[in-house]
Amino acid sequence: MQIRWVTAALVPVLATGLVAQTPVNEDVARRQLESGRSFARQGNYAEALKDFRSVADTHSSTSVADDALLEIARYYLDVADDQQETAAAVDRILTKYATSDSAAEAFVIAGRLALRKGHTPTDITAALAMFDRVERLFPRAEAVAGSLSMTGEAQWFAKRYDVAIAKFGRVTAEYPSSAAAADAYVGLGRTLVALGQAPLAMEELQQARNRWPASKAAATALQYNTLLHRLYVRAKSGAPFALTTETAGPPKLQNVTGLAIRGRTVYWSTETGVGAAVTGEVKLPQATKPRGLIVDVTGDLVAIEELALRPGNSPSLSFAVPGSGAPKAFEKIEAAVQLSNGDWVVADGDWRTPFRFKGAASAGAFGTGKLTRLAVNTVDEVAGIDRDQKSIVIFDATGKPLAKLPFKGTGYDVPNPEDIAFDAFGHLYVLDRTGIAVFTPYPSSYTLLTFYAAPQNDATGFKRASAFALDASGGVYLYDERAQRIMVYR
Amino acid sequence: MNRRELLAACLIAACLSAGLAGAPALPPRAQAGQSGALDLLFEQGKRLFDQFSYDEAVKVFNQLINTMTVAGQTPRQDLLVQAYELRARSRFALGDTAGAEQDFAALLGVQPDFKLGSGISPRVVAAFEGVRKITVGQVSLQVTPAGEVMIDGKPVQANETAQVFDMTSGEHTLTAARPGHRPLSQSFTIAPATVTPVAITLERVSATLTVRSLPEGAEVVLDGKVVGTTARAPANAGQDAGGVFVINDLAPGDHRLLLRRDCHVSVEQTISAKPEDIDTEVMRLAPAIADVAVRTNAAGAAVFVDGIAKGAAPANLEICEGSHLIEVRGPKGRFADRRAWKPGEKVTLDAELRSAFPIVVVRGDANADQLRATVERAMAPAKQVMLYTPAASELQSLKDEIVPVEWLAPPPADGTAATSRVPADVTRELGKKFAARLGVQGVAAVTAGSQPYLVTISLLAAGSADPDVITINLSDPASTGRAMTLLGSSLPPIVRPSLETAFIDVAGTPGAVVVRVGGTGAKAGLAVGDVIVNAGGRPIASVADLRARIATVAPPALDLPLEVKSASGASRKVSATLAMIADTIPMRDSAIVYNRALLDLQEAAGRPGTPAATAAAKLNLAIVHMRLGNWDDAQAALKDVQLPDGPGVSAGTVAYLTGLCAEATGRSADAQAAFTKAAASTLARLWNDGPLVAPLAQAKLGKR
Repeated sequence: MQIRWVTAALVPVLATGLVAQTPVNEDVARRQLESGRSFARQGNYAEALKDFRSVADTHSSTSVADDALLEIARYYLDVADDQQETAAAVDRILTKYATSDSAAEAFVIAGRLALRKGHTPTDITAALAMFDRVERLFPRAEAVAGSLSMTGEAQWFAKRYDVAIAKFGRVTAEYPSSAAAADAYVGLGRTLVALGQAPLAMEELQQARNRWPASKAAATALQYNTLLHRLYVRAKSGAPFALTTETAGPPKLQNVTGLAIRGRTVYWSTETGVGAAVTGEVKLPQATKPRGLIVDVTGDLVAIEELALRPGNSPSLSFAVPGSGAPKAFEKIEAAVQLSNGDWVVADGDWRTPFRFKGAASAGAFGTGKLTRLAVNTVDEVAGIDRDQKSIVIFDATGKPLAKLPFKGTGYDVPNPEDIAFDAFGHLYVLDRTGIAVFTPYPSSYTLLTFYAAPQNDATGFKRASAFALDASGGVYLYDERAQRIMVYR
Repeated sequence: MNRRELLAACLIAACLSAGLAGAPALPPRAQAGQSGALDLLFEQGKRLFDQFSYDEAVKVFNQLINTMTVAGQTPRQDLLVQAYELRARSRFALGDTAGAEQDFAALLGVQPDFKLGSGISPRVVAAFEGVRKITVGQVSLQVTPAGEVMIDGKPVQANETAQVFDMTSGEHTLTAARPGHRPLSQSFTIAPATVTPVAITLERVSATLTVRSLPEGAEVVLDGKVVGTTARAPANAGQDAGGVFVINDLAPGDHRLLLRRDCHVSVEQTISAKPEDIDTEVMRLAPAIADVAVRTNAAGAAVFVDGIAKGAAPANLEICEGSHLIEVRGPKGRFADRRAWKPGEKVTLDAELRSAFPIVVVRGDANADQLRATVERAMAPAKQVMLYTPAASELQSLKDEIVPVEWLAPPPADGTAATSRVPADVTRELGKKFAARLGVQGVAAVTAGSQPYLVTISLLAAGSADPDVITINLSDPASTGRAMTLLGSSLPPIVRPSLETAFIDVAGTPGAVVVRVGGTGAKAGLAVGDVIVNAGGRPIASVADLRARIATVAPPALDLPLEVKSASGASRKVSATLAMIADTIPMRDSAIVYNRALLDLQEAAGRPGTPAATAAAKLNLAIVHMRLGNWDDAQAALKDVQLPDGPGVSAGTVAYLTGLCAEATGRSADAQAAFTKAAASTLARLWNDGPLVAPLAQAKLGKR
């Protein structure tokens, strides 16, 4: 190593003044950027976007133009969910401001964008490449923390839990004050659950609450801990679920075919259409005889009819599969779920196997079995109720069987499963008419975690459940045909 | 004259010739020597005259007079007059009356008012008076007003009263000058044995202003321009005479006169000048003093004003008006107050000493002094760290030091140019040396960024090998605010009360829900699934409430009564005794200035305390050393730390940190062993609210 030495620490300095020379243009741009951020904090994104665009376009040579583009990219990714606009803003940063601090953050957004497209190995590989660039190209940038945390997230989707925990650990150890550290604690919690260490996971999740109490991560941690506490602590000493006094939906509701939760609002489908506990939050699907109700990857409500899927915000989707002659249209759709990349898995009563569709085009059979209800988790594993086989079947994202759970097993009996759902951790909930069984895929294969047999001799139990949905904290919203209402169990 | 005397006279004459004949004036010692020689020659002539050796005497006086009247030389008038007199009398005695009269005429040309002494022959006197009558007249001179008067280039005393004095007959030129008056030059003729009146009046053309100040030494500013300084008035001018300064040729009209003096209140007045002498009243400059009391609790601190020692603190100071820097310097830090003091102010400065980091390096295209001052001003409110501009004398003391160009330079954001970085030991030793030289806790460098408002500050504590680097956008108050908060933040507590039990929040369940029991929590009978709803008489709605309540507990009162709901809903009361446990700071946390923390922890580690406090101080000191690249120091600090196995900061924490030290110093087997131990400590954490150690250790072991 060569060191250049110089006499005296008092390095000679010359030239012009300081501070007072901030160019007017720079000041204007900076003020407009702050104005935009202020609007964004208030939720006035239209005005925020105007400010950000003005800085990026009119003051493109100032030091904050890249920051404005970053704000635009964040808005389109996190608020508007517009992948095209997000990519455009990211491209501008990486092209025009390739050496700026924002470029590092732009790579993080590009990686998140890849994950938003789906959780396929291709998507994950693309995302990891983007995240990896941040530390390699900008080792001292603040964005490194976020990129490491998102790397952990991507590895979690890839089920490489050891790698994920190492990445999350680095964030919490090396960037303990960063916003990414809060997310990393949540990621650690989720990963520890996957590693079969739920009690420790709860402690990690609580860290996010202790240190960043006002953060989104803290809110998520509360939901997760509530869920984990119910399944791993409460269930050990008593019933995991108890009827609450919460009301969801009208006092009397008949012939409910499906329930869905979007945000904090409960939606239901009946034989006559789709209803909501709180109206106006989302456009309800126009369905005549819906057989079920789901939320797609964009957050849109989708009603399942015999002949088609009817999203609230987009055109109906009908499906057909190639036959010996003309394609044969689905006419008895029983269930459908959407994978993270937008593909649909649809089960039709006339077929002994579900099919996968890219849009309306068939991508072939997906798994096997005549399934009546479907559920999908965050890693695109699909579960279905196979009444013929009297089992719950689980497939991976390609349709390969992962597990088969009989209706009756050690510690549980669900002779009449009506509905299935995954929670945020991938626990599988099976709703029977009179009980709920919860299975965990961790640490290696699906096993019973807890079984709740609803009391039949008092009003706290359900007698004939037919549909349910889970909220973010694992709260169960179920429809009981006997009670003719939606009951909330926590 | 005998041969001997003649030889001596010749030698003296030769000597005089050598000294006087040359055109250049002799230096003072040579002139003194010449004067002595003239006296010797005169004494020689006079002795011959007294011995009646008139011939020999004339020869000697010839020699003397010739020597003294060489063109261009200034004769010693008294000696020349005596020489002429004695030669005249010698010539008279020899019968050379004409020669004698010539000498008397020459004598009166030199001194017109010369009178012969008594005891001289009446014949000689008659001859002299005869000459006098035909060569000397008188002038009656009157000058109004009195001024500086010269006749034929020789100064004479003259004023408004006529003065009569002898002059040789013939043409003479008189010049007269006086401040504020037009200079005058006039010729006149003196006739023998007559009195010629000469009366002149000097014309007033401008004012003469005499400025008087008390005290003396006041700077005189006339119409905004410094014209001089009042000088001490003559001793007979009275006790309050102060100082005087005369301004001549002051143009008529109004003038602003300002007197100023350090540490005094300036005085100003308007002078309406007319062509006359003006004498100001004594302008009194009152002392401009602020009374400043400096108080501090810091032991061994000394007070300095503008870099000059004023004794030990506390101190009462009289501070002159104007901008001054008052400092308190102690072994743990400094206090500085730079402000413009006003006369009569009475201020008490409570000096809280902060770790002092003088800015010894300035880099980039900016004015160094301006950049230093800007950063000092911007960071002045920071509570824990004092960034300041060292006095010129302090900087001067470092002038001859040789330092690497990249010393304390901020690292490039993209991590490049790593090869030009300064080795850790060089950085550390230079920091120590500079800090010791300046008597401070560390040093700082400031680097101007690519934009004029971006500045990077590097802080290096004495003993640190790696500076903390903070970048500030000086045009953004939020940015400087963040930097100030960072520099002002205290070290987080390193010992804290704890129930040694893990709690979580559960939605819909008010209280803190127990998910893991240990230590004092277990002793108190807590169980997993319990919910703490009250602690120390305060309702607990969440984990945050419980943590806040626990944080208020301090030794020796460590008991905390709890109200607990079991999983079944039954309520019970328990009493827990909290443990004081060690906590640590993160090794990398942008919210901590590690170079500042090093100073705090070095002090804490050397202070006597409880076992937990001592262990915590050493453990944290080790962490800070690690962060600052002092791996050997870190290892040494860790060796003394003994913590039990268990959750949170514990033996697993120490093992992991030990592994990092071993890894950094190339002891891979030791590192492997330490990481293996840490990986087995499943509940140990890097800090109590921080990450688990086991996954980090497993990653080091290559298992993750």
